[in-house]
Amino acid sequence: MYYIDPHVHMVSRVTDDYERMAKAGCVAVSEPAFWAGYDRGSAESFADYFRLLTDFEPKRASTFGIQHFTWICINAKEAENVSLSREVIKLMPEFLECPNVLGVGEIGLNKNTRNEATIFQEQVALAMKTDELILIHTPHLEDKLPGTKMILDMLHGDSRVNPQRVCVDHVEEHTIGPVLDSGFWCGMTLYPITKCTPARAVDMIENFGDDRIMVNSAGDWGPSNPLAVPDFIHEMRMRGHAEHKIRKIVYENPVAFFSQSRNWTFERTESLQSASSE
Amino acid sequence: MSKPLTPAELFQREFLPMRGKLLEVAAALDRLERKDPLLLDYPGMDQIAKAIEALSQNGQARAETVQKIFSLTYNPDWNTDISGTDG
Repeated sequence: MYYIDPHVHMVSRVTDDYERMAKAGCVAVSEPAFWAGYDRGSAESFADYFRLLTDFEPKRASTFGIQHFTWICINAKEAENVSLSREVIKLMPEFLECPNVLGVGEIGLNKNTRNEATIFQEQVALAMKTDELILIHTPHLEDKLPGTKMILDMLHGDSRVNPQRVCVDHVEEHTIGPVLDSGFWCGMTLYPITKCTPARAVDMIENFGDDRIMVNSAGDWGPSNPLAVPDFIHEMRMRGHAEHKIRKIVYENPVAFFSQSRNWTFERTESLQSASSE
Repeated sequence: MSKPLTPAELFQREFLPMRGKLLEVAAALDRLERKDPLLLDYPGMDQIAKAIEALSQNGQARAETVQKIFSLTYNPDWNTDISGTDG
């Protein structure tokens, strides 16, 4: 089955992973800007990173027939440094114009601090200026529940934000309900230990339905599996879910959300179209 | 296309993995106690105990309950209660 991985940090993965993903049916990836595992020392470092996301990674992905899209932002962890963050925000409009950029992301909270909240709101304001899609990172472990609710508070407090154009990512059993009830899209991240296993993701599909929901590998430099979405597909099949339902979650839903971006130039091939009619 | 599992098939599929995961938790608790019995009083172990207790409850929200046991509390007044350190 063809699928889209709507959240994967290919900058941290080797080229062999692109090949394995392509062989498993991946036709497109969306790569949010994120914390690289260390704090960068200057805005210039971010400019180099954004060039990598908008120039090098699309070329590397295309070698294997994978279409590469990306998001630009200052991530939640480094947002604790407000002065550096504001320098990075000044750089962002130039990169938001690049042809593979879908919007602002992944912005959010990490330890739920005032500084993180300030920079989150400033990036939401930037996104509203040019009508960008927004992709949101929710915090880890014990910080996830309060942080997700703080993020929803901030989004509800900005009347310019259209929930249909925002995806709140890394939802789990205790946060998926409030996100969907508020009208936002949501993403479930499939990780080996933290976040969500394929089996629990299928449980949430069974409990909350398949509208406005996507699954991703969030493959990065930590413990993660770039083939996690195929694992989810397998778990859905093992439980007897219909192929069209699986395809909706791993292909049609990402297309529906991303196609709201002016830069979503995803090309459905003839083989894709024939597969969709099977 | 796969067929939906019958209740008996679902039980068969889930039983051994559940047994295995419970054994892993039991063995981890043994491992901690073997190293030092005081580890069972370390911060976080009370959450483990509450989570184990939650598994015995009836209802459809055990996973959500366990998630909340390991979560910090949401403060609806966070916007006035937290302060910044920079900028």
